[in-house]
Amino acid sequence: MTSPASSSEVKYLIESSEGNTFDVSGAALRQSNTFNAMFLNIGADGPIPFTDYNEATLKKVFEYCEHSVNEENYSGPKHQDDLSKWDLNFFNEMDQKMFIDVINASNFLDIERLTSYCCERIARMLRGKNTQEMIKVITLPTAEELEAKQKVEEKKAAAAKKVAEKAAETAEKTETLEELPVQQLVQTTRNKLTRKYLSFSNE
Amino acid sequence: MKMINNRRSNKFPILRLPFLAIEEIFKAMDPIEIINFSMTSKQAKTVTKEMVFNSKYALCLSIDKTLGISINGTNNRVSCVYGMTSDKRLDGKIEEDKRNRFITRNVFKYSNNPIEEWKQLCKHVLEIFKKQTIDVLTLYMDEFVDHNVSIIDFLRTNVKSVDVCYLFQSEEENDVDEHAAYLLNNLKVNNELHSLLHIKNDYFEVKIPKNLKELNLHNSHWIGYERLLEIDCKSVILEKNQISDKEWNLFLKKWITMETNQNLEYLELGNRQLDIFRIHVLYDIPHEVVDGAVKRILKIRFNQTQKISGGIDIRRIDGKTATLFVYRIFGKNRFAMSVH
Repeated sequence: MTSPASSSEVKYLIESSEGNTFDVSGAALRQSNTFNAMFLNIGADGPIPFTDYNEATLKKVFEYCEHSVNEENYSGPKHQDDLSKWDLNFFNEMDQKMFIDVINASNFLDIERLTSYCCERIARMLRGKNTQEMIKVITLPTAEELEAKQKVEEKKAAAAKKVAEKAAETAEKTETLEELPVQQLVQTTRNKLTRKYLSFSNE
Repeated sequence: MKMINNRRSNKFPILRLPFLAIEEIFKAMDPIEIINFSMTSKQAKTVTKEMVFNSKYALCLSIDKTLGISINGTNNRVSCVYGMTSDKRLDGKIEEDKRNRFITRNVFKYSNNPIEEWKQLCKHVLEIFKKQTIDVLTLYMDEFVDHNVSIIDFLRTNVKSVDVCYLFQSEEENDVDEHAAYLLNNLKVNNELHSLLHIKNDYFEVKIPKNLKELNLHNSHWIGYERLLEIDCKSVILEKNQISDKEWNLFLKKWITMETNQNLEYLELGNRQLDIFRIHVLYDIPHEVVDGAVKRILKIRFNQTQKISGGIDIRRIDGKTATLFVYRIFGKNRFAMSVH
Protein backbone atom coordinates (compact mmCIF):
# COMPACT_ATOMS: atom_id res chain seq x y z
CA MET A 1 0.00 0.00 0.00
CA THR A 2 2.93 2.30 0.62
CA SER A 3 5.62 3.30 -1.77
CA PRO A 4 9.20 4.52 -1.51
CA ALA A 5 8.44 7.39 -3.88
CA SER A 6 7.99 10.84 -2.37
CA SER A 7 5.37 12.10 -4.78
CA SER A 8 2.36 13.90 -3.33
CA GLU A 9 0.18 11.34 -5.14
CA VAL A 10 1.47 8.56 -2.93
CA LYS A 11 -0.67 7.50 -0.02
CA TYR A 12 0.74 6.05 3.15
CA LEU A 13 -1.07 3.86 5.63
CA ILE A 14 -1.01 5.08 9.22
CA GLU A 15 -1.75 2.80 12.13
CA SER A 16 -3.32 4.24 15.29
CA SER A 17 -3.33 2.97 18.88
CA GLU A 18 -6.62 1.15 18.23
CA GLY A 19 -4.93 -0.81 15.45
CA ASN A 20 -6.99 0.99 12.82
CA THR A 21 -5.34 2.14 9.62
CA PHE A 22 -6.11 5.07 7.36
CA ASP A 23 -4.55 6.85 4.36
CA VAL A 24 -2.53 10.03 4.48
CA SER A 25 -1.01 11.70 1.45
CA GLY A 26 2.76 11.88 1.07
CA ALA A 27 2.51 15.66 0.79
CA ALA A 28 0.77 15.91 4.16
CA LEU A 29 3.14 13.46 5.80
CA ARG A 30 6.15 15.40 4.57
CA GLN A 31 5.26 18.16 7.05
CA SER A 32 6.32 15.75 9.76
CA ASN A 33 10.07 15.94 10.25
CA THR A 34 9.93 12.65 12.11
CA PHE A 35 8.34 11.00 9.08
CA ASN A 36 10.83 12.67 6.73
CA ALA A 37 13.75 11.38 8.74
CA MET A 38 12.40 7.85 8.85
CA PHE A 39 10.41 6.94 5.81
CA LEU A 40 10.32 9.58 3.13
CA ASN A 41 13.15 8.29 1.00
CA ILE A 42 12.86 4.63 1.76
CA GLY A 43 9.13 4.05 1.97
CA ALA A 44 7.47 1.78 4.49
CA ASP A 45 6.68 -1.88 4.24
CA GLY A 46 3.17 -1.97 5.70
CA PRO A 47 1.37 0.57 7.85
CA ILE A 48 3.43 3.17 9.70
CA PRO A 49 2.81 2.54 13.41
CA PHE A 50 2.04 5.74 15.28
CA THR A 51 0.39 3.56 17.87
CA ASP A 52 0.83 5.90 20.78
CA TYR A 53 -1.93 8.13 19.40
CA ASN A 54 -5.54 7.35 18.76
CA GLU A 55 -7.18 7.53 15.37
CA ALA A 56 -9.13 10.71 16.13
CA THR A 57 -5.98 12.56 17.17
CA LEU A 58 -3.94 11.40 14.20
CA LYS A 59 -6.75 12.23 11.79
CA LYS A 60 -7.00 15.69 13.33
CA VAL A 61 -3.26 16.25 13.00
CA PHE A 62 -3.19 15.08 9.39
CA GLU A 63 -6.31 17.08 8.62
CA TYR A 64 -4.20 20.12 9.46
CA CYS A 65 -1.31 18.83 7.38
CA GLU A 66 -3.56 18.13 4.38
CA HIS A 67 -5.01 21.63 4.67
CA SER A 68 -1.63 23.33 4.79
CA VAL A 69 -0.08 21.33 1.96
CA ASN A 70 -0.36 24.22 -0.43
CA GLU A 71 0.64 26.94 2.02
CA GLU A 72 4.01 28.58 1.61
CA ASN A 73 6.98 27.20 3.46
CA TYR A 74 6.69 27.64 7.19
CA SER A 75 8.52 30.72 8.46
CA GLY A 76 7.73 30.93 12.16
CA PRO A 77 4.44 31.21 14.01
CA LYS A 78 1.78 33.56 12.78
CA HIS A 79 0.17 35.94 15.22
CA GLN A 80 -3.09 34.43 16.36
CA ASP A 81 -4.93 37.43 14.93
CA ASP A 82 -3.54 36.50 11.51
CA LEU A 83 -4.92 32.97 11.54
CA SER A 84 -7.42 32.15 8.83
CA LYS A 85 -11.05 31.31 9.52
CA TRP A 86 -10.25 27.70 8.74
CA ASP A 87 -7.38 27.68 11.28
CA LEU A 88 -9.59 29.24 13.95
CA ASN A 89 -12.34 26.70 13.33
CA PHE A 90 -9.79 23.91 13.42
CA PHE A 91 -8.64 24.97 16.90
CA ASN A 92 -12.05 25.89 18.25
CA GLU A 93 -13.56 22.55 17.29
CA MET A 94 -11.28 20.71 19.69
CA ASP A 95 -12.05 20.06 23.33
CA GLN A 96 -9.17 20.36 25.76
CA LYS A 97 -8.31 16.67 25.77
CA MET A 98 -8.13 16.57 22.00
CA PHE A 99 -6.10 19.81 21.98
CA ILE A 100 -3.53 18.26 24.34
CA ASP A 101 -3.44 15.03 22.34
CA VAL A 102 -2.90 17.01 19.15
CA ILE A 103 0.00 18.93 20.74
CA ASN A 104 1.56 15.68 21.93
CA ALA A 105 1.17 14.00 18.54
CA SER A 106 2.33 17.08 16.65
CA ASN A 107 5.32 17.30 18.96
CA PHE A 108 6.20 13.65 18.38
CA LEU A 109 5.74 13.93 14.63
CA ASP A 110 7.73 17.17 14.73
CA ILE A 111 5.25 19.22 12.72
CA GLU A 112 6.68 22.65 13.41
CA ARG A 113 3.81 24.75 12.11
CA LEU A 114 1.07 22.96 14.03
CA THR A 115 3.11 22.70 17.23
CA SER A 116 3.99 26.35 17.31
CA TYR A 117 0.44 27.50 16.50
CA CYS A 118 -0.88 25.35 19.33
CA CYS A 119 1.79 26.62 21.71
CA GLU A 120 1.31 30.23 20.69
CA ARG A 121 -2.35 29.72 21.48
CA ILE A 122 -1.50 28.54 24.98
CA ALA A 123 0.98 31.38 25.52
CA ARG A 124 -1.81 33.76 24.63
CA MET A 125 -3.78 32.47 27.61
CA LEU A 126 -0.95 33.71 29.86
CA ARG A 127 -0.38 37.01 28.10
CA GLY A 128 -0.19 40.03 30.40
CA LYS A 129 -1.02 38.01 33.50
CA ASN A 130 0.72 38.25 36.85
CA THR A 131 1.70 35.19 38.89
CA GLN A 132 -1.56 34.98 40.81
CA GLU A 133 -3.59 35.26 37.63
CA MET A 134 -1.42 32.61 35.98
CA ILE A 135 -1.98 30.21 38.87
CA LYS A 136 -5.68 30.43 38.08
CA VAL A 137 -4.93 29.45 34.48
CA ILE A 138 -2.44 26.66 35.03
CA THR A 139 -3.75 23.35 36.30
CA LEU A 140 -0.93 22.11 38.45
CA PRO A 141 -0.29 18.39 38.17
CA THR A 142 -0.56 16.24 41.26
CA ALA A 143 2.17 13.80 42.33
CA GLU A 144 0.13 10.96 40.83
CA GLU A 145 -0.19 12.81 37.56
CA LEU A 146 3.54 13.47 37.46
CA GLU A 147 4.16 9.78 37.99
CA ALA A 148 1.67 8.94 35.25
CA LYS A 149 3.40 11.46 32.96
CA GLN A 150 6.69 9.74 33.61
CA LYS A 151 5.16 6.40 32.63
CA VAL A 152 3.70 7.91 29.47
CA GLU A 153 7.10 9.31 28.53
CA GLU A 154 8.66 5.88 29.07
CA LYS A 155 5.93 4.32 26.94
CA LYS A 156 6.59 6.92 24.25
CA ALA A 157 10.28 6.13 24.30
CA ALA A 158 9.45 2.46 23.81
CA ALA A 159 7.09 3.37 20.95
CA ALA A 160 9.74 5.51 19.35
CA LYS A 161 12.16 2.63 19.61
CA LYS A 162 9.61 0.40 17.93
CA VAL A 163 9.16 2.91 15.10
CA ALA A 164 12.90 3.24 14.71
CA GLU A 165 13.27 -0.53 14.60
CA LYS A 166 10.59 -0.69 11.96
CA ALA A 167 12.47 1.91 9.97
CA ALA A 168 15.68 -0.01 10.37
CA GLU A 169 13.94 -3.18 9.23
CA THR A 170 12.63 -1.38 6.16
CA ALA A 171 16.05 0.08 5.55
CA GLU A 172 17.60 -3.36 5.58
CA LYS A 173 15.18 -4.43 2.88
CA THR A 174 16.17 -1.52 0.69
CA GLU A 175 19.86 -1.74 1.40
CA THR A 176 20.66 -2.58 -2.18
CA LEU A 177 19.31 0.81 -3.19
CA GLU A 178 20.93 3.13 -0.70
CA GLU A 179 22.63 1.03 1.92
CA LEU A 180 24.84 3.49 3.69
CA PRO A 181 22.66 6.65 3.58
CA VAL A 182 19.63 4.74 4.89
CA GLN A 183 21.55 3.34 7.82
CA GLN A 184 22.86 6.79 8.59
CA LEU A 185 19.33 8.12 8.31
CA VAL A 186 17.99 5.56 10.74
CA GLN A 187 20.84 6.20 13.14
CA THR A 188 20.23 9.95 12.95
CA THR A 189 16.55 9.40 13.63
CA ARG A 190 17.30 7.10 16.52
CA ASN A 191 19.66 9.64 17.98
CA LYS A 192 17.08 12.37 17.54
CA LEU A 193 14.35 10.34 19.20
CA THR A 194 16.66 9.31 22.01
CA ARG A 195 17.52 12.96 22.64
CA LYS A 196 13.86 13.91 22.53
CA TYR A 197 12.82 11.25 24.98
CA LEU A 198 15.74 11.80 27.24
CA SER A 199 14.54 15.37 27.54
CA PHE A 200 11.06 14.08 28.43
CA SER A 201 12.31 11.75 31.09
CA ASN A 202 14.47 14.51 32.56
CA GLU A 203 11.45 16.69 33.21
CA MET B 1 -19.57 21.76 17.65
CA LYS B 2 -17.34 20.77 20.55
CA MET B 3 -15.52 23.63 22.19
CA ILE B 4 -12.37 23.73 24.28
CA ASN B 5 -14.32 23.79 27.51
CA ASN B 6 -11.49 24.05 29.97
CA ARG B 7 -9.76 26.71 27.91
CA ARG B 8 -12.98 28.65 27.96
CA SER B 9 -12.86 28.46 31.75
CA ASN B 10 -9.20 29.57 31.62
CA LYS B 11 -7.68 26.38 32.98
CA PHE B 12 -4.95 24.54 31.15
CA PRO B 13 -2.50 21.85 32.30
CA ILE B 14 0.59 23.36 30.66
CA LEU B 15 3.03 21.42 32.81
CA ARG B 16 1.59 18.14 31.61
CA LEU B 17 2.74 18.88 28.07
CA PRO B 18 6.01 17.47 26.73
CA PHE B 19 9.08 19.55 27.36
CA LEU B 20 9.54 20.59 23.73
CA ALA B 21 5.96 21.88 23.59
CA ILE B 22 6.50 23.86 26.80
CA GLU B 23 9.63 25.27 25.23
CA GLU B 24 7.56 26.44 22.25
CA ILE B 25 5.13 28.13 24.65
CA PHE B 26 8.06 29.90 26.34
CA LYS B 27 9.26 31.18 22.99
CA ALA B 28 5.93 32.95 22.58
CA MET B 29 6.12 34.55 26.05
CA ASP B 30 7.89 37.77 27.00
CA PRO B 31 10.44 37.71 29.84
CA ILE B 32 8.03 39.13 32.41
CA GLU B 33 5.54 36.41 31.57
CA ILE B 34 8.35 33.87 31.90
CA ILE B 35 9.24 35.24 35.35
CA ASN B 36 5.60 35.24 36.45
CA PHE B 37 5.12 31.73 35.12
CA SER B 38 8.22 30.47 36.92
CA MET B 39 6.78 31.68 40.21
CA THR B 40 3.51 29.78 39.90
CA SER B 41 4.93 26.56 41.37
CA LYS B 42 8.13 24.72 42.22
CA GLN B 43 7.73 22.56 39.13
CA ALA B 44 7.17 25.61 36.91
CA LYS B 45 10.43 27.06 38.25
CA THR B 46 12.27 23.80 37.51
CA VAL B 47 10.90 23.70 33.97
CA THR B 48 11.80 27.37 33.40
CA LYS B 49 15.38 26.75 34.48
CA GLU B 50 15.66 24.04 31.84
CA MET B 51 14.97 26.48 28.99
CA VAL B 52 18.31 26.92 27.28
CA PHE B 53 17.31 29.98 25.29
CA ASN B 54 16.70 31.97 28.47
CA SER B 55 20.40 32.70 28.82
CA LYS B 56 20.37 34.79 25.64
CA TYR B 57 18.52 37.58 27.43
CA ALA B 58 20.49 40.49 28.90
CA LEU B 59 19.82 41.16 32.56
CA CYS B 60 19.92 44.74 33.81
CA LEU B 61 19.38 45.81 37.41
CA SER B 62 18.59 49.35 38.44
CA ILE B 63 18.33 51.03 41.81
CA ASP B 64 16.58 54.32 41.35
CA LYS B 65 13.32 55.69 42.75
CA THR B 66 11.89 52.44 41.45
CA LEU B 67 13.94 49.30 41.84
CA GLY B 68 14.01 47.65 38.47
CA ILE B 69 14.89 44.35 36.91
CA SER B 70 15.05 44.52 33.13
CA ILE B 71 15.37 41.64 30.78
CA ASN B 72 16.35 42.68 27.30
CA GLY B 73 15.96 40.56 24.21
CA THR B 74 16.23 40.83 20.44
CA ASN B 75 19.61 42.59 20.58
CA ASN B 76 18.43 44.86 23.38
CA ARG B 77 15.61 46.20 21.22
CA VAL B 78 12.90 44.87 23.52
CA SER B 79 13.20 45.63 27.19
CA CYS B 80 10.84 44.23 29.82
CA VAL B 81 11.14 45.99 33.15
CA TYR B 82 9.83 44.66 36.43
CA GLY B 83 9.64 47.70 38.71
CA MET B 84 9.32 47.34 42.48
CA THR B 85 7.64 50.35 44.01
CA SER B 86 6.40 51.51 47.39
CA ASP B 87 3.77 53.60 45.64
CA LYS B 88 0.57 51.60 45.96
CA ARG B 89 -1.12 53.56 43.16
CA LEU B 90 1.34 52.08 40.65
CA ASP B 91 0.62 48.46 41.57
CA GLY B 92 -0.11 46.39 38.48
CA LYS B 93 0.37 49.34 36.16
CA ILE B 94 1.74 48.44 32.74
CA GLU B 95 3.42 51.03 30.53
CA GLU B 96 4.60 50.39 27.02
CA ASP B 97 6.86 52.77 25.21
CA LYS B 98 7.81 52.38 21.55
CA ARG B 99 10.55 54.58 20.15
CA ASN B 100 12.13 53.91 16.80
CA ARG B 101 12.95 50.23 16.86
CA PHE B 102 13.00 50.01 20.65
CA ILE B 103 10.16 48.77 22.81
CA THR B 104 10.09 49.10 26.58
CA ARG B 105 7.42 47.38 28.64
CA ASN B 106 7.25 48.42 32.30
CA VAL B 107 5.28 46.41 34.82
CA PHE B 108 5.02 47.86 38.34
CA LYS B 109 4.60 45.82 41.49
CA TYR B 110 3.79 47.40 44.83
CA SER B 111 5.62 46.24 47.92
CA ASN B 112 5.77 47.65 51.43
CA ASN B 113 9.38 46.46 51.51
CA PRO B 114 10.49 47.01 47.91
CA ILE B 115 14.19 46.51 48.56
CA GLU B 116 13.83 43.07 50.11
CA GLU B 117 11.30 42.02 47.51
CA TRP B 118 13.58 43.33 44.75
CA LYS B 119 16.45 41.27 46.14
CA GLN B 120 14.30 38.15 46.26
CA LEU B 121 13.10 38.71 42.72
CA CYS B 122 16.68 39.36 41.53
CA LYS B 123 17.79 36.11 43.08
CA HIS B 124 14.93 34.27 41.40
CA VAL B 125 15.61 35.88 38.01
CA LEU B 126 19.35 35.18 38.21
CA GLU B 127 18.50 31.56 38.92
CA ILE B 128 15.91 30.99 36.19
CA PHE B 129 17.87 32.87 33.54
CA LYS B 130 21.05 31.11 34.69
CA LYS B 131 22.99 34.34 35.10
CA GLN B 132 26.10 34.83 37.17
CA THR B 133 26.94 38.15 35.61
CA ILE B 134 24.73 41.21 35.43
CA ASP B 135 24.83 42.78 32.00
CA VAL B 136 24.10 46.32 33.22
CA LEU B 137 23.91 47.68 36.76
CA THR B 138 22.56 51.21 37.24
CA LEU B 139 22.79 52.56 40.76
CA TYR B 140 21.69 55.92 42.13
CA MET B 141 23.82 55.93 45.24
CA ASP B 142 21.83 58.52 47.17
CA GLU B 143 18.40 56.99 46.56
CA PHE B 144 18.41 54.28 49.25
CA VAL B 145 21.44 55.43 51.25
CA ASP B 146 20.60 53.30 54.29
CA HIS B 147 20.40 50.20 52.11
CA ASN B 148 23.43 50.73 49.88
CA VAL B 149 25.67 48.40 51.87
CA SER B 150 23.05 45.65 52.02
CA ILE B 151 22.38 46.00 48.27
CA ILE B 152 26.11 45.82 47.49
CA ASP B 153 26.48 42.84 49.83
CA PHE B 154 23.55 41.19 48.09
CA LEU B 155 25.17 41.72 44.70
CA ARG B 156 28.61 40.47 45.72
CA THR B 157 27.03 37.36 47.20
CA ASN B 158 24.80 36.54 44.25
CA VAL B 159 26.75 37.58 41.16
CA LYS B 160 30.30 37.07 40.06
CA SER B 161 30.61 40.32 38.16
CA VAL B 162 28.95 43.17 36.31
CA ASP B 163 29.65 43.84 32.64
CA VAL B 164 28.57 47.49 32.56
CA CYS B 165 28.16 49.67 35.64
CA TYR B 166 26.58 53.14 35.79
CA LEU B 167 26.87 55.10 39.03
CA PHE B 168 24.78 58.21 39.58
CA GLN B 169 23.66 60.50 42.36
CA SER B 170 20.57 62.68 42.26
CA GLU B 171 21.83 65.53 44.46
CA GLU B 172 25.33 66.84 43.95
CA GLU B 173 25.81 67.76 47.62
CA ASN B 174 25.19 64.22 48.92
CA ASP B 175 28.34 62.46 50.05
CA VAL B 176 28.42 58.99 48.55
CA ASP B 177 32.19 58.45 48.73
CA GLU B 178 32.13 55.65 51.27
CA HIS B 179 29.49 53.58 49.53
CA ALA B 180 31.00 54.14 46.10
CA ALA B 181 34.33 52.87 47.40
CA TYR B 182 32.63 49.90 49.03
CA LEU B 183 30.95 49.01 45.75
CA LEU B 184 34.03 49.33 43.57
CA ASN B 185 36.23 47.51 46.06
CA ASN B 186 33.81 44.58 46.28
CA LEU B 187 32.18 44.19 42.89
CA LYS B 188 34.06 43.14 39.77
CA VAL B 189 33.33 45.29 36.71
CA ASN B 190 34.27 43.60 33.43
CA ASN B 191 33.73 46.00 30.55
CA GLU B 192 32.53 49.49 31.32
CA LEU B 193 32.40 51.81 34.32
CA HIS B 194 30.57 55.11 33.95
CA SER B 195 30.65 57.27 37.06
CA LEU B 196 28.70 60.50 37.31
CA LEU B 197 29.28 60.68 41.04
CA HIS B 198 30.41 63.84 42.77
CA ILE B 199 33.18 62.44 44.91
CA LYS B 200 33.99 64.78 47.78
CA ASN B 201 37.37 63.48 48.83
CA ASP B 202 40.29 64.62 46.65
CA TYR B 203 42.22 61.60 47.90
CA PHE B 204 39.39 59.15 47.27
CA GLU B 205 40.88 55.70 47.70
CA VAL B 206 39.25 53.14 45.48
CA LYS B 207 40.23 50.19 43.34
CA ILE B 208 39.82 51.26 39.71
CA PRO B 209 38.97 48.19 37.61
CA LYS B 210 41.68 47.33 35.11
CA ASN B 211 41.40 46.27 31.47
CA LEU B 212 38.02 47.91 30.94
CA LYS B 213 36.77 48.73 27.50
CA GLU B 214 35.51 52.04 28.85
CA LEU B 215 36.30 54.00 31.99
CA ASN B 216 34.28 57.20 32.07
CA LEU B 217 34.75 59.42 35.11
CA HIS B 218 32.76 62.58 34.70
CA ASN B 219 34.13 64.11 37.91
CA SER B 220 37.66 62.86 38.14
CA HIS B 221 39.31 65.52 40.32
CA TRP B 222 40.40 62.71 42.63
CA ILE B 223 42.49 61.11 39.90
CA GLY B 224 46.05 62.25 40.42
CA TYR B 225 49.19 61.45 38.50
CA GLU B 226 49.93 58.22 40.37
CA ARG B 227 46.37 56.94 39.81
CA LEU B 228 46.57 57.96 36.16
CA LEU B 229 49.59 55.67 35.68
CA GLU B 230 47.67 52.74 37.18
CA ILE B 231 44.72 52.99 34.81
CA ASP B 232 45.00 50.42 32.07
CA CYS B 233 41.80 50.62 30.04
CA LYS B 234 41.07 51.01 26.34
CA SER B 235 38.90 54.12 26.42
CA VAL B 236 39.29 56.59 29.27
CA ILE B 237 37.39 59.81 29.94
CA LEU B 238 38.70 61.95 32.77
CA GLU B 239 36.52 65.04 32.96
CA LYS B 240 37.37 67.84 35.39
CA ASN B 241 40.64 66.20 36.36
CA GLN B 242 43.28 68.10 38.31
CA ILE B 243 46.31 66.65 36.59
CA SER B 244 48.86 69.39 35.99
CA ASP B 245 50.66 70.17 32.74
CA LYS B 246 53.88 68.87 34.21
CA GLU B 247 52.15 65.59 35.11
CA TRP B 248 50.65 65.23 31.63
CA ASN B 249 54.13 65.76 30.27
CA LEU B 250 55.49 62.96 32.44
CA PHE B 251 52.56 60.73 31.59
CA LEU B 252 53.07 61.12 27.84
CA LYS B 253 56.77 60.38 28.18
CA LYS B 254 55.96 57.19 30.06
CA TRP B 255 53.34 56.28 27.44
CA ILE B 256 55.90 56.81 24.65
CA THR B 257 58.36 54.51 26.40
CA MET B 258 55.56 51.98 27.02
CA GLU B 259 55.81 52.24 30.78
CA THR B 260 52.13 52.95 31.30
CA ASN B 261 48.64 52.47 29.82
CA GLN B 262 49.78 50.17 27.06
CA ASN B 263 46.20 49.19 26.19
CA LEU B 264 45.06 52.76 25.79
CA GLU B 265 43.17 53.51 22.56
CA TYR B 266 41.32 56.71 23.49
CA LEU B 267 41.88 59.24 26.27
CA GLU B 268 39.89 62.36 27.01
CA LEU B 269 41.92 64.77 29.04
CA GLY B 270 39.29 67.44 29.75
CA ASN B 271 38.63 70.73 28.06
CA ARG B 272 41.91 72.15 26.81
CA GLN B 273 43.24 74.09 23.85
CA LEU B 274 45.58 72.27 21.51
CA ASP B 275 48.06 75.13 21.02
CA ILE B 276 48.37 75.83 24.71
CA PHE B 277 48.77 72.13 25.46
CA ARG B 278 51.53 71.97 22.86
CA ILE B 279 53.43 74.81 24.50
CA HIS B 280 52.91 73.77 28.13
CA VAL B 281 53.04 69.98 27.84
CA LEU B 282 54.75 68.90 24.65
CA TYR B 283 57.65 71.34 24.88
CA ASP B 284 60.26 68.57 25.28
CA ILE B 285 58.39 65.73 23.63
CA PRO B 286 59.03 64.97 19.92
CA HIS B 287 55.79 65.64 18.06
CA GLU B 288 54.44 66.55 14.65
CA VAL B 289 51.76 69.11 13.94
CA VAL B 290 49.49 67.67 11.26
CA ASP B 291 48.14 70.00 8.62
CA GLY B 292 44.47 70.91 9.08
CA ALA B 293 43.76 69.79 5.53
CA VAL B 294 44.68 66.22 6.47
CA LYS B 295 41.59 64.29 7.54
CA ARG B 296 41.80 60.97 9.32
CA ILE B 297 39.27 58.62 10.83
CA LEU B 298 40.05 58.44 14.53
CA LYS B 299 38.51 56.72 17.49
CA ILE B 300 36.39 58.98 19.71
CA ARG B 301 34.05 58.50 22.69
CA PHE B 302 31.91 55.41 23.18
CA ASN B 303 33.89 53.31 20.74
CA GLN B 304 32.82 55.48 17.79
CA THR B 305 34.97 56.97 15.06
CA GLN B 306 34.97 60.39 13.44
CA LYS B 307 36.79 62.15 10.63
CA ILE B 308 39.26 64.50 12.35
CA SER B 309 41.21 67.35 10.74
CA GLY B 310 44.85 67.87 11.66
CA GLY B 311 45.95 67.38 15.27
CA ILE B 312 49.33 66.69 16.82
CA ASP B 313 50.99 63.30 16.48
CA ILE B 314 53.31 61.70 18.98
CA ARG B 315 54.91 58.30 18.48
CA ARG B 316 55.42 55.43 20.85
CA ILE B 317 58.62 53.41 20.71
CA ASP B 318 56.76 50.47 19.15
CA GLY B 319 55.65 52.64 16.23
CA LYS B 320 52.08 53.33 17.40
CA THR B 321 50.88 56.90 16.90
CA ALA B 322 48.73 58.97 19.22
CA THR B 323 46.96 61.97 17.78
CA LEU B 324 46.00 64.80 20.12
CA PHE B 325 43.03 66.75 18.82
CA VAL B 326 39.95 68.75 19.77
CA TYR B 327 36.47 67.78 18.57
CA ARG B 328 32.94 68.70 19.51
CA ILE B 329 30.36 66.27 20.79
CA PHE B 330 27.22 66.76 22.94
CA GLY B 331 27.65 70.55 22.66
CA LYS B 332 31.11 70.62 24.22
CA ASN B 333 34.68 70.68 22.98
CA ARG B 334 36.65 67.61 23.98
CA PHE B 335 40.42 67.40 24.06
CA ALA B 336 41.38 63.86 23.26
CA MET B 337 44.18 61.52 22.40
CA SER B 338 43.46 58.71 19.96
CA VAL B 339 45.91 55.85 19.43
CA HIS B 340 46.17 54.30 16.01
